[in-house]
Amino acid sequence: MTGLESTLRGIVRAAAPIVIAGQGELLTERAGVINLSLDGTIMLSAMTAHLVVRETGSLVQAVLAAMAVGAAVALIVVFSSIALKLNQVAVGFVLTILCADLAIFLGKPHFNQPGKEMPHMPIPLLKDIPLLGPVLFNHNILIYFSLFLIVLMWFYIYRTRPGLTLRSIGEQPEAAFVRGTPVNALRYVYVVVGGSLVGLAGATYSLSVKLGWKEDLSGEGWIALAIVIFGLWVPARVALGAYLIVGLRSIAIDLQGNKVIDLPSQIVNMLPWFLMIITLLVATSGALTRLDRYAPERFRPMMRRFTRAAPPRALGTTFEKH
Amino acid sequence: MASSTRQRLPSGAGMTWRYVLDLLPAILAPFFGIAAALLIIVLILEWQGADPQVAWNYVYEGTLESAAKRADMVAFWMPLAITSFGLVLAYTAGLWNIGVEGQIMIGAIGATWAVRLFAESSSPPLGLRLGRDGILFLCFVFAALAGALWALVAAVLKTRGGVNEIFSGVALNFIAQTFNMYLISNGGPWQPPGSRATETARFPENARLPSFEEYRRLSPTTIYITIGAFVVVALIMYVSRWGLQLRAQGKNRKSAFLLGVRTDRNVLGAMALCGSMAGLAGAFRVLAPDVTKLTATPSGGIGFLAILVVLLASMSAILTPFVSFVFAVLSKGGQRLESGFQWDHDLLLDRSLVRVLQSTIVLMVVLAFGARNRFFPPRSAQPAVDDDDVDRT
Repeated sequence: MTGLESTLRGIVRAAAPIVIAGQGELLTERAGVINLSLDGTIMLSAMTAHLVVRETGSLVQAVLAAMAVGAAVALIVVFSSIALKLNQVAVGFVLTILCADLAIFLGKPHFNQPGKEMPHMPIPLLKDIPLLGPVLFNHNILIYFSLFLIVLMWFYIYRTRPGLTLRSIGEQPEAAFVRGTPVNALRYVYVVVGGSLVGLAGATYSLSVKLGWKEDLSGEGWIALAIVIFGLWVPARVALGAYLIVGLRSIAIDLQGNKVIDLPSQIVNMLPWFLMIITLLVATSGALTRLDRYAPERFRPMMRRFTRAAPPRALGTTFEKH
Repeated sequence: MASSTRQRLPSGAGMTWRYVLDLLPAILAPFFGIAAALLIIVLILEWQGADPQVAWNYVYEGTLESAAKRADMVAFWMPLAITSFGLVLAYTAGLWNIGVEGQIMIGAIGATWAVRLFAESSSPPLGLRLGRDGILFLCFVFAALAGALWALVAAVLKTRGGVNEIFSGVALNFIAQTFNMYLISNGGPWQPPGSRATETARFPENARLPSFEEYRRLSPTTIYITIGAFVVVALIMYVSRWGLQLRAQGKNRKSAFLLGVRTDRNVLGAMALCGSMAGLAGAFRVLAPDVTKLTATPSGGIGFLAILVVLLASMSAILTPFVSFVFAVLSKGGQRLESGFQWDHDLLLDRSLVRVLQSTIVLMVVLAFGARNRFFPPRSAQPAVDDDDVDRT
């Protein structure tokens, strides 16, 4: 494997949990609900997966348990939003702190203990394609799923009828309701499914990317939340954001070992966070839309489609039928 | 006029009774919330094999039993309280200042910088050779300014760049923490030469806060400043027009703006004030008589704790001191809880359990208030339908 191949492969692997969590949050937000609890949920589900795999030895059970944790937290968020009409941000924030502390408390006895790794499963034939093979088809099943999920989400949201309904309950819940869509019931479903994907992201950490339980996952969930905004609620762009951030992170780590450019390690550790602020600034300040002016006439509609920054219109609001 | 018959006021005892009936769910909601949270924690304790009564005894013993313990607890309470007061302003204005943790750290760094400039350096700027009072005053000024500036970064990103303050706050927290580590670890500029500990040297005598005669770890200065901050916040919230503006834009930023409130300027003001109070909390933490150095965790998580305090107090300036007191007791008690069970009962019970309890209380109380609004709506929230009737007749 060449240096480039192994770098790219490392990025695909390390970004997998952020991709999965990002797609889960995308699904949630497309349905009009913000689940701010990602950071804590990822920690708690990662700890759960590690704990279950140590107790039972079963990877399947570990993954399912982690997904159940994510789904349960999401259920609290959506229940408190729809049934109790509470502020989604407030509940999500309290949950993120609660889950992180719960993970640290319950995971203490299992801290830094050896865990079990997802079996490596290179795909025959495909893995021999030059460049693409080692980068995309030489992983374990969770990483494959992260790649598959991007395509699945795009197809579901833009090419199926239920996907259209999903967009409608996030954009125009009143109109969807008038057309007979059970808005709140669907929101429950999508938020819980999205939450279980976040749980899966946690399992991807402790079973594959950062093997075991080390309490150092704080921050990953916030990155996932930020790239949903950076990705402007479009699956492929959200994934792109994840690869970008993880890619820059790995370049920064490479630079650290490189004695030519001697950066203090702390400066390098700051980079993803500067990047997060800058990408959000680019995505939300409308700078991209202003670029439009300089594009050739022919490409403007295409560019506009790519840079249109529009959160789901009903994001964060509760829907009441009158 | 169906509404008039429905709204006929009951007289005398009837009215009092109705009033009590209305009030009851509001009083019971937090009660049920706290009870549910305690129940969850008792279940966790039983499951871990710890006696809840013993656990409470440890918490009590570690915080309230003796005067010395109470003094230690107050020393923890003051930075938590002043941070919460600042957050009352930000949250009232609808600003999710999650960056408060970073603002505390930057405040701590600012105070340390002032110590280095004016107390440790042989040639202080402007040739100022100050006594202890002057140096400490500058420490607090530096800390407040540093915290305010750090908060303004998030505020400007919000007003100018449309970046949500939650995300910029999270990023700025991590940046502040990494910057702190850069200063004091691996031969960083503020680490004493030859030292391997991730902290600065202890501050010189003339940069240490005065402490009480019999309680060496508690400084009266922090108490005075915190009371001052409380008065400022209470005046803003209950007396000034600015407080009213903050409330208005917290409820609905767009309407407030259309009614002539300068919302962007208020965002900057509320964030700067909140940041300066968080910065002072950072100064309390590093200048505390038993610390007097910049450590790897100058904030110790009190920023997030203060957010929980403000959420639980539902942004009431009057309730905040009490709620932060309870949380300070729990946090300090957690240390004794962990060591007590480890030594006396040979049981590993991490102190993060009290943080679980704190966030569970907040979650349960928030949910209980939601349930109360849903199932026992307060009278003022009901007449939406009646208003419609009135309009039509």
